[in-house]
Amino acid sequence: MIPSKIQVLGCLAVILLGCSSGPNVDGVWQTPSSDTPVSLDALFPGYDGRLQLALGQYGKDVAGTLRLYTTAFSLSHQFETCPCVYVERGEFQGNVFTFSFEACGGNRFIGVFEKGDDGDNETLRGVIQDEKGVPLTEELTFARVGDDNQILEEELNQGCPAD
Amino acid sequence: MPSRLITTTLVLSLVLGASFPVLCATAQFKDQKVLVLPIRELVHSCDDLFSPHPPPSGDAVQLGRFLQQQVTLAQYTKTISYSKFRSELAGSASYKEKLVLGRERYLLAKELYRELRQTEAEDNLLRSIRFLQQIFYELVEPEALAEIYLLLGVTRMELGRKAEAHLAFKKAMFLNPRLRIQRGYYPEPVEQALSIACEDSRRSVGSISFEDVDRALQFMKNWKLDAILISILSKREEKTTLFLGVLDRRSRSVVYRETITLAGSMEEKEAQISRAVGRWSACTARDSIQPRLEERHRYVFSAAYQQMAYLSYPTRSILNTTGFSFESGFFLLRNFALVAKAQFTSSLPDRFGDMLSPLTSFRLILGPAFSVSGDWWRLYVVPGAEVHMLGAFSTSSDPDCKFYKKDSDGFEAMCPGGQIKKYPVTFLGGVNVSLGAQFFFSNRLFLSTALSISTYFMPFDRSIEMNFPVAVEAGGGIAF
Repeated sequence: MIPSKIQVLGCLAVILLGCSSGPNVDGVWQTPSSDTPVSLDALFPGYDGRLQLALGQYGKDVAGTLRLYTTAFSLSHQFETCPCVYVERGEFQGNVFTFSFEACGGNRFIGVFEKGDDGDNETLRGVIQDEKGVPLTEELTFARVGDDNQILEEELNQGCPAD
Repeated sequence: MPSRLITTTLVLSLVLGASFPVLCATAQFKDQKVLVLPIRELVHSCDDLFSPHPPPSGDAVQLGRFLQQQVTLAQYTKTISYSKFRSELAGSASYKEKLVLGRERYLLAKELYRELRQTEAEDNLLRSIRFLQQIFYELVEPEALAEIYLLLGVTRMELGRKAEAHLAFKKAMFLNPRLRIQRGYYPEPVEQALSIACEDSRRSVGSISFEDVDRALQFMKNWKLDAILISILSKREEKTTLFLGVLDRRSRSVVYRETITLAGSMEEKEAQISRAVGRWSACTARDSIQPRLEERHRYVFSAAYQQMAYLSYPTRSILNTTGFSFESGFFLLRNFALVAKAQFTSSLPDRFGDMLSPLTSFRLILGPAFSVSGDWWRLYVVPGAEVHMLGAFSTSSDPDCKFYKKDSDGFEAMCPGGQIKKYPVTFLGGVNVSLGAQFFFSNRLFLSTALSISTYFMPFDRSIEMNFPVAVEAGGGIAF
């Protein structure tokens, strides 16, 4: 892989100026715990709950997990069935984070979220759609929580426990 | 972390520098630029001042040539040919203008003198002398200037100022020791005054040589001369003596003054002059010069912080590494050395995190160094052979292989084995070219910087996708 001149100049710039990361979705994101639980009926019939994304970004590629909780973000409040799914084909580009995931029933859904700021926290605002692009949820808002070490501290990089 | 190591490296260099004995370099001195003026011949008897015959030619020309030759041969001395110097002086920009002004004043003074307007004549003669002094006319046409002083003396005699006339006559006699006056041309009192001035000029050899030191120093400054050697041949009680005086610009004084009595054959006289020049040369204080850098050092050791980037790399973004370089050099010739470099580096996280584990590497470079240097700097180029050992590492472009912890459920589920490329310990062989500079801030300590690039030819199967590392280095070292 031979780099272009721009890459070489970019590398020199990085050497001279030090590393500075641009906007990213690295870290832990949660829907608000104080509000009414989000209706997830379209995804998991009969369930309302709270969502948590644990993401790692590498260039534009994003990997991670989506976890579902009932009333609080703790292990004891995880959904009984299918509490964790893998983020697949995750991408963060043009300030928009898209990913897909496979629910327990084998249905595949797509998340489309725009990164923003509500004044206090960075946010990801968007909906979960079916594969045809039909929104299945009301607008969801995730807020960034914790710091860069949150994923490691909570061992969210272990993935979803195997059945 | 790197800044701490840089500081440690520099401190170590300083400590090492202080612990070595001071280098005893061979003393060298700057060349001294000396103007040797022709021997002024004050040997002719003043009894012959009114003789119709020109004075006979003496040994002055031959001795003068020998003197010039001896000074030229003296160590750390550079002489200027008087004839060349005189033509350069006469060819200088303001020379002609000042000469015309001086000559015009002199001609006007002559007119005024003929019209018996002595006061005005004297004024114009003095102005003429001032113009001509500005161009150091006495060194180009001393006889012509002597004429002006002669008329000045005559004018002052007629104005009744005998003491001042004496000084003017004496100057004329000094400028042109071969001066002859036609008997009866001037009135008796003038002839008497001339005779006295002639005798006086022959007696005060030493004092008359640098009568205006400030002017002489200005002259030396203008012409970038370090010293002027004046020599006067005179007769004292039937003995021929040679006065030698050296005016030194740096000390603003006459640093050497000796009168030697010349006797015997020409060879003996030359031997006496040779010894006198030797004495002057031995006693002359000289500015020492630092030996050139390449003459000062034989061994060079340095340590540097290094930042390297591979232009061909196994990741999606350029791969940067950081580390340290240790270098030693041994000068076989002044500008030629053998150099060995040992470098340790570790990779920095790449932009996409494709390096799953850091790459540590060690490389050894051996080669000749060709250098050029100034008083405080050295530039060098080292074309060398390189052996580069890369530690084992693995890469992946799959984000799942990066996010999930190894051996976790997530890793098992999302990162299939084929998504990771594993590289075993590898040895690369190739060539390296390094361009560097060393900046000496003391006799042996220096700061250094270098830029290098390598290309690898081995292994031949190109099984490794890493090549063309470009490195920049900054550090310091010691040379002795």
